[in-house]
Order: sequence, then structure tokens, then C-alpha cells
Amino acid sequence: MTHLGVVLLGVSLITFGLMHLAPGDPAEIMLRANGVQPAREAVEALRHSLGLDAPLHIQYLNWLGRVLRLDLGVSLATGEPVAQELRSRLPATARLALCSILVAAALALPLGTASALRPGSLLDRLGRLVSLASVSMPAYWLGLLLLFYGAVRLKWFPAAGMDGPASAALPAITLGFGMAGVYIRLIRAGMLDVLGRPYIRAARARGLRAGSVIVRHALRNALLPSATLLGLQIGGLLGGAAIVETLFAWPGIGKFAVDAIYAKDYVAIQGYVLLTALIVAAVNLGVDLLYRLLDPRIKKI
Amino acid sequence: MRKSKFGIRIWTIGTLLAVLLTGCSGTGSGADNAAADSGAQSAGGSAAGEIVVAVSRDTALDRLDAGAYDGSMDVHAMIYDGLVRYGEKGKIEPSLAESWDISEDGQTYTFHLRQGVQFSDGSDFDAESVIFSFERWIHDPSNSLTLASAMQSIEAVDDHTVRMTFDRAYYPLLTELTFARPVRIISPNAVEPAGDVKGKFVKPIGTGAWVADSYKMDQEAVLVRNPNYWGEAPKLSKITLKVIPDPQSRVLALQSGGVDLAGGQSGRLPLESLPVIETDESLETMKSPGTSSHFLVFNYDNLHLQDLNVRKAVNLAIDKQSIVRDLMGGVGSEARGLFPPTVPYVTDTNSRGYGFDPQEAKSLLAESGYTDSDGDGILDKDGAPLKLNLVLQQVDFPEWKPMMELVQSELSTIGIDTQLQVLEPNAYYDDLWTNRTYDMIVYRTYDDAYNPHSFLSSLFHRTQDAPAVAWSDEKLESLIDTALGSTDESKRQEAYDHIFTRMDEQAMTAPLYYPDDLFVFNKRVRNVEAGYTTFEPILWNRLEVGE
Repeated sequence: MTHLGVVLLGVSLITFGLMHLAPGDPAEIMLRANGVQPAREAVEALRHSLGLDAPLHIQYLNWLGRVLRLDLGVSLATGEPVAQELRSRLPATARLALCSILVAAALALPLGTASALRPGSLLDRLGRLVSLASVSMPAYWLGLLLLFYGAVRLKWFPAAGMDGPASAALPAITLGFGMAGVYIRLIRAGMLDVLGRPYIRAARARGLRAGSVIVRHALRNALLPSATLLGLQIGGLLGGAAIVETLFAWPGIGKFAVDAIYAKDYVAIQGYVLLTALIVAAVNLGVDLLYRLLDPRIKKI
Repeated sequence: MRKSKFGIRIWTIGTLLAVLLTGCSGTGSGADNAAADSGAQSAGGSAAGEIVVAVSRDTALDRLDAGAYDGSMDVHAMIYDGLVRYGEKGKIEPSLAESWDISEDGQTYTFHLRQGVQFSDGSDFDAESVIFSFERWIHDPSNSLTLASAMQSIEAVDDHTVRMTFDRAYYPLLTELTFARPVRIISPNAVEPAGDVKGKFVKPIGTGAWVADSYKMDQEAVLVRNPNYWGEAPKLSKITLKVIPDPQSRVLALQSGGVDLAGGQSGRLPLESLPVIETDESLETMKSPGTSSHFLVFNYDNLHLQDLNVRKAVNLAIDKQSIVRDLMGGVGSEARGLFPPTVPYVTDTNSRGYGFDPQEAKSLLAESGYTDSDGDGILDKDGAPLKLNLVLQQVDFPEWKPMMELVQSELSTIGIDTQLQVLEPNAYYDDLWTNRTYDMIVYRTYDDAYNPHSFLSSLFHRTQDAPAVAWSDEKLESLIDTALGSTDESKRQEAYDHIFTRMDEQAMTAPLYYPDDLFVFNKRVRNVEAGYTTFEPILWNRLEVGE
């Protein structure tokens, strides 16, 4: 726990410092609606009312003091509590993250396993092709293609927004497809390694059914590296995927963070960074627990 | 054979996961039932009297306070009315005030309010509500309207007459009263406790043609027709503003039929998609001339640029027609003077511009003593090469990159070496307004109601503690003062003639391009007419739908 505290403190200090090194003044940016330059007195007045005229360390300590009382402060750009801004956007992001993990799993589990079972076969080559396309195709481009064919040509999915169940499909496929490639390769490599182990031969020799050998004995062990990677990626996914969210007009947290950066809304950014840091820590804890399920040897430690 | 069985099993797992995925798409749909419903209606696009408009950012409908600088200006203007309205070329037209008198000295304005007007909640609009609306923000020091800083008093003469007194004559006061915010009138019932000028805003209640119906942050805002509206009743019953941040996605949404209309500044469309849009049989386009222009600011501290011939040469070397034709897909028009002809007081004779004549540019530079003495293709004078840096940003204005590259190559043909410097928007604005490390910087004039007076004052007039930003010229500053203070329309025109002519003759800027606003809409939408200000891009009340 103290560990986590130190990490969060460090993260917030770095973000705060970086934000103040970047050019631009939040008060000026807020008042500069439609490019019209605000009067100097107006900017000064707003800086004062937002507390931006205080020395930097005081600003930081003020912020920290509030956070310790579990108050993330009020967004400079919108005037709404940051906690509320984050809370209202997190569900959409979480939903998209969950869907894209499922897409990635639906692609990677069968393709990865199949290509390990029959190296050099058509399925193996397909798996190779899919993973190559997956890692090299930019999400932006894939998303536009999917939008064009899925929404404009076939009209199966809405073009943008979070309207009903079908709307999650395109962004989830965009994100999930991008993730799948690495998992296909990881699972394939893991399976190849495991399938050659003596305990698999032993299991087969005992006459266990082939399906049970592959799924319960081989795949389960081959999934360990994937679980590690997934743990790292979930943190990133829950931090929001700004590009995909923007493309599909998904009301998530990533777009909010990018807007906050342009507005130099450091209160919102700090809140966002704290939240993501917490999520990453929590997910990694979850992955450690998952290891125990996948690999009983870890239980003893 | 056994192995292929596993293959089948594995694909079965895959299918199971696919089913799971469908399940996941369903998660949360309980909470989003409203979204699904309205989505079903809008995606069909057939419900009579309703359209979906794509906008690039959240409208903040739930905190759309008439007196606050927050949320979508377009929606401000749909929900709230001002005392007066901005018409074609800045003509001030009656709105909530039917007529007004201005005292001889230009310091007292008396507004005669329209009778029988009701707010959307049914309460009466009167002088009290006008004063309530102004009192909420007029004393706020962070408000930079001249209206606020010059106002001495605002009082109700009777139920339907309001008098405002100012400490100076400043003709654009009426123009400021046409703005989308904070000058529009809000019902005293919109705050809690009701009628308290310091009260907390709770609900947008105005006298405008449209009423807030529902709102989902970052997703959509729904506006419905105001049954109590005093003016020409809107033909549509409902307008849904759908947030689609990505320009390409907006085009695809138009093509898919999920969105009926997009464009203008609140939902800009990429010009490179124009050919695709034009071949789409379900879509129609409309180009409406805007009121802003893109131009180069010259740094008056640069020794080369202090030479009038150099400034003229830069103007003459740039092919303004080519910018419109080759870079902007024919959308927009060739720049002449600093302001396009849609801006008040701009005439053909006072804003001629320089045209395109590189030969003349070269001879002007030669006349000033610039020669290429070392044969490197760059002109020099007294040992100083004619090298200039040109600052731009491309986040807000992606078109500036190709435009400046064109300028760079054209300037090199007359022997000026230009270095492009792309900055992040905040660094760009800091450079423009404060640091001034540029030799040339590309900028644009403000939109509609800020032109020309407010734009001229902020860039070409000194402030208390700093000289003018874009070009410092005492004669120009005194001309601006004359124009701003004159209450007589013809004297004002005369002053502006002098201002524009002087800026033109002195080549204080290099105007580049007058953009048009591009709108694209589904053919089922009829009567699409452009408004006169950025915040009223379309005359919403006139829109109709038909099959």
C-alpha cells in the first residue's frame, strides 16, 4: 500500500511538472473562445479566481491536500467536479475495453492454438497473416475501413456514437483486431513449447482425450505469458483509446484526457492520471491472482 | 482425422466467444435505452420533422447558461434571444427589442421591448428579465466586452423599456448585443433561488425558437420546438445534435444516412472528401461565404519587413487564386484586402489587395537595393540575407501547412528564403500575442460580429501596457479611434475607408484566403439557408424535411 502511495505521488508530481513546462495558460485558453484574444485584465481575473496566480508549489500542495480528502477538484475547463467527469465516462470506456478483449480472444485463442497444432498448415499461415495485419494496420485506417463497409455500404452498424448494442461492434473490432496479433504469436509459441513437454506426452499416453489434453493441459500453461501482457494492456485500454474513441464518437475517457491536455486543464489531467495509475495497479493485482488459477505451482508460494 | 476434430472444437470455442461478444454488446444497454430509442429514430432518418446534425464537440446543454462562456455557441443562439440580431453584412435587426433610440452623444441607449413574449416555461418576458440577465455577468471583471466595461447603469423605465448608459460613445455596443453570449436573455426562473442574480443556474430557459429536451454528455443534445416562440415558428419539431469528433467519421455518418446535416465551423468537413460527397446521390452541398480571412502578420521589429517594398513584394509573390483552386478544392475565394466583402464597411474600392505579379515583386526588391551578391539564390542587402521565418500551427488549421508551403516556394522564386516553423497551438498563440519571435505568422481574422472593429482593436491598436500586436502605426490607431467613437453611419464608413485603404497601401498584412463554410446535407432536408454569423450557421427555423 505504501508502495502504491509513493507511485501515485511520483506520477502526480511528474504530470504536474510537465504540464507547467508546456506552453499556454489555462485561463487564457478558456477565454480564447473562437480565437478571439481576451483582454489582459480578464485573464488576470480568471487566473486569480482559479488560483492559478499562486506559486507552483502552493498550487500543487493545494491540489494534493484536496486529493488526500478524496476530492479530485474541479475541472478548469468545464467547471464540473473531475471525479464526476471521470465517473460518467469510465463505463463507456470499460464497455469498449471488455468488448475488444473478447474480440481479441475470439481471434487469438483459436488461431494461436490451431497454428501451433499444425505448424505450416493453411491455418498457421492464416494466423501469421492475421497477426501481421493486426500489428501493422493503424487503428485509424482500419476503423475508417470498417466504418465505410460496415456503416455506409452494408448499413449493419450505426456510423458513430453509442446508440444501442450494435454500436460497440465496430470500435471493438478495431481495437480487438489490433490487439489480437501479438496474442496469436504468443499463444502459438507457448503451445509449441508446451506440446513438446513430457507431461503432455504422459497425458496422451494415459489415453486422455485429445481435446482435454490441449485445452486443460497445454493451453492453460501456454496462456501464462498472454495473461501477463493482457494485464498490462487492460490498464491502457481503461485509460481510453483516444483515436478509436474519436473516430467512432465513443463517449469515453480517452477523448476527455486529450481535450484536457489541449486545454491545459491540469486538474482534470491529474485526476485522470491518478485514476489510470490506480487501475493499472488493481489490474496487475488481478493478474497475479489469475496466475494462481492458471498455474497451481504459484499457489504454494 | 482426429486432429481435424480438434480444429472443429477450437472453432466451436471461437463461435462461443463470438456469442459472448454479442452479449457484451448488450451490456449496459438497459441504462442506454433512451439512447437506443432515439438512435433508432434518427438512424432511420424518416421521422417527419426531425433531423440529426453532426457537431464536433459536446454542447454542454445541461450547463448552457446564457450568461456563461461555456458550451456550444450555436445552441446558445438557438435557445436564447438577444435584444437585437446580426443580419446580413452586420445590419442590426430587431429581436427582443422592437426598436431602440440612441442619444445624441451616443452614450444612452433606450430599448423598446417586444410585448407578449413568453419564455419557454410560460413566464412573461419583460424589462425585469432583461436587467436580471445582464446583472448576472456585467460586473464580472473577467468579462472583456466593452459593453461591460463601459456600462454605467441599466434600468427599467417601464415594464417594456430598458435604458442603458455608458461612459463613452462606442458604436459596436449594438453589435456586442447580437453575440451568442453572455448578452442574451434568460428567464429569472432558470436559477435557484429564482430571480436571484447570484443564484445557481439550473435549467436553460430562454425565449428562443428551440428548447432543451434531453442531453447525454459527449453523445447528443436534443432540442425541440418552443411552443411559445414569438417569431416565425420552426417547421421542424426536433433537432438532434450528435457529437462526432472526427471529421472523416462525420462524412461517413452523412453517407450512411445516420446524420442529415453537417458542416460549418461547429462540424467542419474535410475538403479532401468533397469529391466523394459530390458523387453521393443522397447528399447535397452548400458553400456559404464566411466572414473571416487567413493572412500573414508581419513583425514590425524585423528590419527587412520595415521596408514597404519588401511587404509589397511578399504580397505580390503569392498567387491567391492558386490557393483557392489548387489547395482548397475551389471552396472559398481569392483574398484581396484583409477582410472579405461580407464584413461591414468593406467595399471594392477600399480593399483592393495586390493580386499576383512576381515580376513586379522582383523589381520592387531591386528598387530597395536587394541583390543576390553571393549567388546563392537568396537576395541580400548590406550583407544581410533576406531570410524570414514563418510560424504556423496545424491543430486548429490543418490547411495552413500546405498553404504555407506554397507561400514558401513562391517567396523563394523572388529570392526570399522562408523557414517554416510549426508550433503546438498554445505555443503558437503565445508567440503571436506575447513573445513575437516570428518574422511572419499566419493568422485569421475573427468571425462575423467581431469584424472589423474588435479584430482591429486587438491586433492593430495599442493597449495600456503594450504596443499593437500585428502592426504598429499611429495614424492607423487614431483612425480606429475615430471609427469606434463615431455615432454617425456615414462618418464611420468614411473612417473605415481610410483604415482599409491605409492598411492596403502600407501592405500591413498579406491577405491569403477567404474561406467558405461548407455544409453537406441529406437531400431530404429542404430550405437549407446559411445564417449570417458563425453561431447561427443555418437558419434552423426554416428547415423542412420531405421524402
